[in-house]
Amino acid sequence: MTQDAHFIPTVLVMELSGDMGGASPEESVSRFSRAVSETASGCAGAGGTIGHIKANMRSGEEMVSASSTTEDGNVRLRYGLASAVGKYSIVMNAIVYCIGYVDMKTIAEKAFSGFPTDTSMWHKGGQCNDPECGDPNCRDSSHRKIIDLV
Amino acid sequence: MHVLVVAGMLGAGKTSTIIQLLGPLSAGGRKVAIIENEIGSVGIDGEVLNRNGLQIKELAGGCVCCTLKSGMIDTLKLLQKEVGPDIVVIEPTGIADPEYILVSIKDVVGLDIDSVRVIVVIDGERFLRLRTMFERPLRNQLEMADLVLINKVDVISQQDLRSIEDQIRSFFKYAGKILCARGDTGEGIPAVLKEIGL
Repeated sequence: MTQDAHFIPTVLVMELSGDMGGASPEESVSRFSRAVSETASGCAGAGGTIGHIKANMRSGEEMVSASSTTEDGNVRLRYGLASAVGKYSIVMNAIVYCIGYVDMKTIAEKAFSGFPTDTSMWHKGGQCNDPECGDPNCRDSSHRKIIDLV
Repeated sequence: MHVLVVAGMLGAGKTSTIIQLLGPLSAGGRKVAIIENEIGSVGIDGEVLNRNGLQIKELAGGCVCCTLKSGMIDTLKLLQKEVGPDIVVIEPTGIADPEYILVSIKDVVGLDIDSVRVIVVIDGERFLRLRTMFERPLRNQLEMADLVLINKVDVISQQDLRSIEDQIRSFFKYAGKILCARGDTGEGIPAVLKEIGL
């Protein structure tokens, strides 16, 4: 792997929605936290280095936010849910180095498989769609601008 | 308007730091706007900032110095025109190079920028472990820093903290001010504002 390649993280974007059928807020938050934790530890177990895994779970006007930055799956939660959870939505951005998208998706799908889901979307994030960006650090090396040193 | 770039590696605590900065920054009736960048195509930090009663302009889908360069300039112009902020806080993604942001906004016709300051937030919990792997982007960030903020100091020992400071200075040759803080509680934040002159 080139030095450049390992700076380029794999970005997985996930959006889920469904109905938790009135699950308690404690159980819902616990399940959400566990899923984010398993995503982090799973990616680490597959050789990845965690950049940042962050996710929000919404239920009505309430939201709980989860963040994981370490390979042990430790999750920091912000805000919380106070009411029973019916319809919910979850969005997650998982940014991990040294792991492929397919592996990440497999790990995350398994981690979130316990959620009753009506819709799910998974896609690869962080692409540069601007061939004229000229950014010397662009993730797409063909976009980078060559600067003459002389 | 003054521009404050809050840079740092992924997960270092940039968003948490910004949340803590915003109260003091907006003291005295100053208008503060935030440009938030997400590398994922769905904004998450924006929702977190909205929960703190903040209105933000979110540019999701790419790193600010890459895909969204023109988006960031257009957003700054739009903010200047429609909001007239005193301070704009830009949070790039964790893989962004602050130099490219500064070059992009410098001398743009139509943008009235009084000053640009760069704070680099260091993940105190992971710096020693990831320093080698992320040496290049860390070096890029620290070269542009007006202030370095070591975050998550509550989970590291004094010995590790000294080691982090030592490496920032000796290995990365950073000669400026280093402060410690907790982005989750705001401890250390008042000193940050005093140091950057805002």
